[in-house]
Amino acid sequence: MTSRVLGIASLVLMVFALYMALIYAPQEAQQGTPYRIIYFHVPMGILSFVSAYLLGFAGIMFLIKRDLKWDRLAIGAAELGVLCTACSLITGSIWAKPIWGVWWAWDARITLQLLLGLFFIAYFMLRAYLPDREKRAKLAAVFGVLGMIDVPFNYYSIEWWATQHPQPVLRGGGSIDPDMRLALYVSALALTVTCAYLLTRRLAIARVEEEVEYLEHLVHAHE
Amino acid sequence: MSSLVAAYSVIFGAIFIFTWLLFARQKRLEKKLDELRELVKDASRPRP
Repeated sequence: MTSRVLGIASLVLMVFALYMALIYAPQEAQQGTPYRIIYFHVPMGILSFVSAYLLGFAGIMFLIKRDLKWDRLAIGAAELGVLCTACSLITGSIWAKPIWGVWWAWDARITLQLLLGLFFIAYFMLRAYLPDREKRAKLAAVFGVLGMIDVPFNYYSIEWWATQHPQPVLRGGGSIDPDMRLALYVSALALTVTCAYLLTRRLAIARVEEEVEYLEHLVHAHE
Repeated sequence: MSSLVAAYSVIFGAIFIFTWLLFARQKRLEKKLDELRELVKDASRPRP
């Protein structure tokens, strides 16, 4: 039921977000059309940080409670992390080409975001190499907590170091047009609801996966 | 304009593929679960 409501809400919000980003928001004087990429690039970047924190939180909860439901949440968060990090990096690169003249710059923000993406992939590689369910969940939880370290450095990297990446648009002195700000909030909400929907679907699948694993074990024990 | 289309295609394409993969995985798992339940039911029946 929750999943269905989130699914419908995400569809409606996505259509509204597209209207806000492509029609409602005014044109930016210097960058022209490519600036409209930020309406989905920025929320994807923020959601990649949220995924890392969700993964870390689920890891901590698993280590405290030893309940596999936290491990399932961690898997869902890590998969969303891969999706959001990949989208933020690729759209950032597409934006950079017409604005900077290059696809990629090895500055602090972009490199730390790439590291975050590689961390999510490493999380799945670690899980794939551990056959024992309990051991896999425990080690993955510890590894998942480490991912949170990247986020504050990544978030403040554009202030701490001289980077090519633009300065923050949502915090720090109201440097954005109110209509642009509203469009950005709407697209952020739409993508957040979409990610919440995908997470609920993924959690439902993880429960079925565990039941399949348990029944397979039972069948093999009977043979 | 082309960069905008490319970026939005990446975002919506990625979300669509992710969602499609989730549904495909769920369908495959539910089929496997039914098969396994049948196997367990057969195995638990008393043998003549």
